[in-house]
Amino acid sequence: MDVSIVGASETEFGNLDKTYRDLISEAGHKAIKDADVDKDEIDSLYFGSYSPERFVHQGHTAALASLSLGMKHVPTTRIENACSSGGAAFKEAYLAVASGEYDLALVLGAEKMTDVGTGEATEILSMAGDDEHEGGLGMTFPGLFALMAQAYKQEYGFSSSDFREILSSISRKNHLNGFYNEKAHFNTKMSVEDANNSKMIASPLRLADCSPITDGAAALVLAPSDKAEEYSEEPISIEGFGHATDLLSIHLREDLSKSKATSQAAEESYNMASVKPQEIDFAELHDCFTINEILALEGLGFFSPGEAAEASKKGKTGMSGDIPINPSGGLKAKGHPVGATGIGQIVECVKQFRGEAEKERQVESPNLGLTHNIGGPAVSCFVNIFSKGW
Amino acid sequence: MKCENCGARYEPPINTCLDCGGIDFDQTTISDTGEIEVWTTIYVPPLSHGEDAPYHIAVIRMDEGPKLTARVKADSEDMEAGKKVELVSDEKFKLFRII
Repeated sequence: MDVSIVGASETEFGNLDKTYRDLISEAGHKAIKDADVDKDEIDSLYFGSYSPERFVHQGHTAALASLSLGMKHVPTTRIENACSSGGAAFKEAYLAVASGEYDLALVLGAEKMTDVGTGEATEILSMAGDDEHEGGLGMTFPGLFALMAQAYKQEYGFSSSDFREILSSISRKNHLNGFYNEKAHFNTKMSVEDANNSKMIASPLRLADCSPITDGAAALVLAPSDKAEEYSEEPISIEGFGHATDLLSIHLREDLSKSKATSQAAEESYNMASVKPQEIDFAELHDCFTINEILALEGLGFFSPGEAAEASKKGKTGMSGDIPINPSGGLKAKGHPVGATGIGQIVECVKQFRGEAEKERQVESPNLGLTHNIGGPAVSCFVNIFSKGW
Repeated sequence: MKCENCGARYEPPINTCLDCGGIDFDQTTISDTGEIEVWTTIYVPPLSHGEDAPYHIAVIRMDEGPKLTARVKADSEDMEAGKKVELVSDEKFKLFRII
């Protein structure tokens, strides 16, 4: 059975004076309202969140999510797949509706990360890598992606200064898009020079290459496509999804200059949707670090291996480029509340199709959009393709 | 360790051979030397390693073939892909030095 999105909403992203349950409640109620349904009509709730146990000292967050929405007896499941917990929850909700078991599913992602300090947040996030073989060394998430950046730089022979300019140009572009996004964590522009001079975090990655520690939540309502018009005049069709997993341990990966989980998930998604990468009008992809935008652009087939770096520097992924990438500002500027991120990317797609984005970052009349959500050091990957369903 | 079925080498140990799916392994030792494949210097550490920073972490290909992730004690200007390294400590974590 085909499935459509009939409701979508997200909170603002940032360092917010709102609790975890406030965020869940706000995003969920707004998505239900957007779908113009009563909350009692929701048949099932899927909730993505990475580490509320550590960030806010709360376990059993499936039940917290339904409580926060006043949904007394709705079947609720919490899904954890690191930074792709939202993407994973979306997959489960999609499959549940596609199977015919449920009609209306609410899928929600949330994370409240700023109640702990940067050192503790860094430690919590590092647990999404291989803790036995990497955590004990003092490995960090920026460190894992720094290894990929080094591998890419070595593979294609970039000089340190050229590579720096490339990474900084991606940061500049995503900050520019985020500048216009009223819900983004950062509404500030970033010059290439400022990015070049920002604090070193894990060489060669600097602060300007890293997504921030963010609070936020996002939610969607899914329905069978043949009933979608009962709930929305502007339903979004789910055309394809793909899901793949790479090896968790960084030392076991054959080639760190490529994202194999991305290319496998993308192939599955393109096949299901019967579309080619060149037909996609825009994409929200997982730029947790600038290097991952390059690896994703190549894994998704938008550019050949080794070519996404120069293409990014030349502006081909900007709003007026060949394919606008991260019109929301991406994880870099919109923010990265990890459990909410994968859902927030899809909410952004809904906005783009409906023409609701601020004009400076609105893609012109898009028909096909793609989301790419990663968990761990480019390990779990979800690629979805959507079309305007009206 | 070495896969009993196909002979693939792993260090650190693994539960299931990624080459053939075998689950039986011979306990073997490997030499203490290898080569840096990729590396990074961590300037912002997790809370538990706050006092160590900055420090280098590298993926090292050992002479017998298996790869591992470890700390490397070296001056920053000496860190480079392809450099030969040897194990100097295996207490808190694996620590190598450039040779």
